[in-house]
Amino acid sequence: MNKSTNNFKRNKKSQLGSELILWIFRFIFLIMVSMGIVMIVGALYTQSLDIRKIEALALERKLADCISTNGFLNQAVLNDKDKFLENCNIVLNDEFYANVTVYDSSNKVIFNFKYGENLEPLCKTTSKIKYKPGCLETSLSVANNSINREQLTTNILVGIKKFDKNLK
Amino acid sequence: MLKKNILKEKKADVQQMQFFLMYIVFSIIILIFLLYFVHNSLTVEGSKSKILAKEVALLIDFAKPGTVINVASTGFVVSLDETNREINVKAEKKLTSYSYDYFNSNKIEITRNETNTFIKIS
Repeated sequence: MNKSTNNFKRNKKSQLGSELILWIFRFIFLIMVSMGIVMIVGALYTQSLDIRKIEALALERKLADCISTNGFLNQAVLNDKDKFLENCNIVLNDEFYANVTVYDSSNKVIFNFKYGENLEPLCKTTSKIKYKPGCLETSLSVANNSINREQLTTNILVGIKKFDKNLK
Repeated sequence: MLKKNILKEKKADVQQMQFFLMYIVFSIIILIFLLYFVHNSLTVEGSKSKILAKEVALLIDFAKPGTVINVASTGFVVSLDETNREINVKAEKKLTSYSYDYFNSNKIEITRNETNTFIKIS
């Protein structure tokens, strides 16, 4: 009698233990199925909208307009390099990269301004990478305000990361 | 002895019932979140908020001082976060909003009427 009671107790205990494990698996299964649905819906119905190239164009235009006025070099803006962006009415964060270089007619650098983490190698790479910044590089001619009206070349390279808001 | 066994069996059944109830409650919570997420993803308001925020941010970036941007914003609330330099767009039917930053440092003011939002850059 005693032996059978003990067996009964053990059976009940083991049954409860296996039930508990079963419930844990049920919870895990439910979480996995839910996560699967979220991932599938997320992948199918959330589209990325990449506007970084247009944004880069806006920034490049703003920088170009700031550097030259009616085709002439805006020397006042270039004189204060520390306040270059401020004078151009631009506020950039760490998602941006800007490189502005002005060359004279003998190809000598007369002004260079860099902002942010160097994205130039990533912008110029031809290999396929998942997180490539939105880039734009332009070159424009401006005339110096001096008497001889020397032709200067301005190179502007703009890179924008903003991966979270444009690629995901 | 038999009484004790019956009591223990009952206890086990109660425990199983508790697990079952917990599972049901948990399933309902997950289902509600799931339905909310799927509804959010499938309705166009979410995408429209995103598009509108990005469009407005681009317009602000391209704009020169003196420009007034008129945005048809029926069903949406367009607001400005001046400290982070962000445009926030919230669909009236939704709880969440979408924001996108701009780099123009000119003074920006927002006024709105029932159907339109006016963004003045000065």
